[in-house]
Order: sequence, then C-alpha cells, then structure tokens
Amino acid sequence: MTVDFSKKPHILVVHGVQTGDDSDITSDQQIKTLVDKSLSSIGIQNDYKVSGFFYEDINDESQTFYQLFFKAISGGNPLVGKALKVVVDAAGDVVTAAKDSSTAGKIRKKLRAQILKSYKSGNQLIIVAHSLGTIYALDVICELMANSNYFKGDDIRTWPIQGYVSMGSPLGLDLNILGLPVFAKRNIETLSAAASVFPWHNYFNRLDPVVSGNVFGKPIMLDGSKGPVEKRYGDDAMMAKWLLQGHAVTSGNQWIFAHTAYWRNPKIGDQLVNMLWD
Amino acid sequence: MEYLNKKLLSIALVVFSLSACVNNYQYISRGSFEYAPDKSNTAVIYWKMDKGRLYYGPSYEEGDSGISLRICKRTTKEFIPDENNTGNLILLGKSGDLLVSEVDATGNISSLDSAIPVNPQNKVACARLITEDSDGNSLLNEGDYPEIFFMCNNLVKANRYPKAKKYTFGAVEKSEYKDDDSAPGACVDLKMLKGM
Repeated sequence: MTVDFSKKPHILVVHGVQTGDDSDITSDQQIKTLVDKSLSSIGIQNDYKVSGFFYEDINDESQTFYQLFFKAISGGNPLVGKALKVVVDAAGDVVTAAKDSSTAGKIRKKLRAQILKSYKSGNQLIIVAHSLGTIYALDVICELMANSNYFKGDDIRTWPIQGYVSMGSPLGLDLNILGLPVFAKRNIETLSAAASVFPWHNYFNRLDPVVSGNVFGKPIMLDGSKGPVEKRYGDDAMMAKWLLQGHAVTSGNQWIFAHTAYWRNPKIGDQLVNMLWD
Repeated sequence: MEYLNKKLLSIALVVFSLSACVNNYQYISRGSFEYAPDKSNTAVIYWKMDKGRLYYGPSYEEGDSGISLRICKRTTKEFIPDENNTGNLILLGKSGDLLVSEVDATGNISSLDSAIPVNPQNKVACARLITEDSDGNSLLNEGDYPEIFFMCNNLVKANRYPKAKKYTFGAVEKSEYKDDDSAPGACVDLKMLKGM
C-alpha cells in the first residue's frame, strides 16, 4: 500500500467551530473554488478531488443534554433560546477539543479513517484545516506519523499525508481557563527522514482574534513572519523535521471577519497548487 | 418587531464599521521567465496590504508577509521572508533540486563550479526577491521594478525553475482589492499590456 503520484491528488478540508449541522458546511466547495481559480490563472487544467471532513454532527450529539437544558431555562423566549443554542453549539465544540473527551476521540478516529481511505486507494493527500479543525488535524497527523506502518523515512509514497495547510489556527494560544488548558501544546512527532521534510504552511491574519487570543481583535506584533503558532512550535517542528512556514495574510477585514476571510484568499489556492503539482 | 428591527440595524452598523475601516490593496508586477532559448513564460507577482483604521481608532498598515508568483503554464510559488535576516524574500528549495548559482551581497549572480544537491532540511534558497536596497529602502513601492534571482534547477522536474539568472519585472501597480475580485492571471500578453 503506497501512494501512486500518477493518480489524481486529494485534498481533505477540515472545518473549524461551527453552528448548525454537517449539511450547513461548504468549506470543501470553497477550497475547490480557490484551487480552480489558481489553476485557471496559470492556464492549466488538472484533475483532483476535494472532500470535506465533517464532525459537527458528532459534536452536536454530545451537546444534546446541554441544548435541552438551556432550552428549558430560556423560559420559552425564542430569541434567548436561539442565542443560547448558538453559544452552546460553538463553545461546546471548543470544550470538546480542549477536554480531549471521548467525543474528541471519536472525531479523530473518523478523521484518521477518512485520511487512510485516500491512502488505501493510492491517492496523495493534502490536509487543509481551519480554526479548531487545525487541532484535530495536527493530532491525527502526529498519530499517523507515530505509527510504524506509515511515514517510512524518505519514501514519501508511504506518507498518507503529503502536507498540511492550517488557517486561522488557535494552536499558538497558551490559554488556561478555570484550570483547563484550552489549547495545550502538542508534541510534534519526529519524521524519520534524512533528506525530507513534512511541509506545514500556517496562514494567519494579524487581526484574527482566534489567532491572537485577543477578543477585541488587537493586532499581533510579528517577529519576521513568525506568528503565535511559529513561535510556539517553530523549534519543535524544526527538530522533528517538519518545515513549518508562517504566512501572514491580509483581507481588509477585522475581528471575526478576518477569521473567516481565509476561505476567499487566493494565496491558499496558490499554495495548494504548488504543493500538489510543483 | 420594532425591537427586532433596531437589533438588526445595530448589527448592520457594527458589521459595516468593522469591515469599512480597513481597505485591502493589491500590488502586482508582471514579467517573464526564460525556460529554454527562445522559450519564455509570462508571470505575475502579487501581494496585498491592509491600510486604514482599526475599529477602535488607531491607524493600521500591514502587508502580506509573502509574495505570490504565478507563472503561465507552470505552477505557483510563494516567496517568504528569509530567516537569515537578509531583508529579502526567498523561495525554499525542494527535494531533488540542484543549486547551480549564487548571488553575492552586491546583487551579482554567478554559476557555481558544481551543482549542489538541495537538502530541504537546510532551508536552501532557490530564488531570491530583492525587497530593499542597501540603505533599507523598500523596492516594492508603486513604480518600482522588482528583481528576482533564480538559482536552482531540477533534472527530473525540468519545468520547476526557469533558467538561473536575474529577472527584472515591470513597474509595480496598486489597486484596491475587494473580496469578490480575482487575483491576477499569469497568462497575459505583455506586449498588448504595454500597448494599452
């Protein structure tokens, strides 16, 4: 079982904090649009497949009790009830990831299975993740890298994932709320390669509150192109033979609008075209 | 109903103020690269910059940290800041690349006596985009002519890099960028553009 680079490549898109259910998520279509536009801009037509990894329904299942509880205390007021539902839905996603609960385990298992489906069919795969999804994606990449069946040294045909693109990631935040480390630092698994690196491109907007951890969207001060993720993981990634590159981007948006603008940034499409076909 | 309308109006005002304070500008410069004698491909570099005021008052001006390169009928690449603090942007080499030229501090490019295989773990620059002059002044303002040095080739993927040499692109142009705009295409007839 190895990757056949003559087969059409796959891109797997992992969404972030969501409200609603899986059917509301269009992140895979947004990434396809960016890649199509990038290919069109250089006059090339290449075949590839984009899939979404959806886990909102798993999150929602685990939040059913809280949703019913808040519905009960909303006293029948539809506005309050709706507001509480949205808050529980979004905040519940973060707590699920932070607590490393059985729900988080289910999500990782489902993601791992979807990744290995591409690998078993011999298709190379790039993962694109946004926001909270960057945590699940990083965890699963490290799990697979620790498994002796995959990532066998410089033989990149044994890599189920050829590269990772994260956008608007909270991985750089060292937050501790009521004793719960919300985004505890991950252990970056070492790649056993002599002359290869695992590419990780991290896109962030200085005005994105999820990246800065500043709820008012105060801009991040950069050290070169190093944002919070590169500062927190840069040395570990280098030691582990990951090539972590930070990309600060702009969008003309502020606050939470800066957090959602990555899905429309042409640079993401350009990077994916480079990773798949350069 | 009136309460709901007021609420919607407030939300619309907040959304407007958050999105209208900072404008996004796109900078582009066009040129071409040589892949073989009498065979060149048109290309464009682009980057964006936010300028304006943050919603709580202070002025704000920050650009993308990298510059994207689109080459017609080839692939895309991104120049990123050089960790060696040269002030330039670089393109990192990949597995299988060979370093065949070098650029000195004065901006002269020369061929190496023998090609050096690139180990990506060493973060080797295969191209360099000059962003500042020796006095630290930006060379990427409107009307400037960006210079790009390519220094590698790849025997298996011959189309990955253009011929190793210095390329000078056309004058940098600036325009306001909206979310539904497209980034520039690379396959443009430069003679037609000059004629406009």
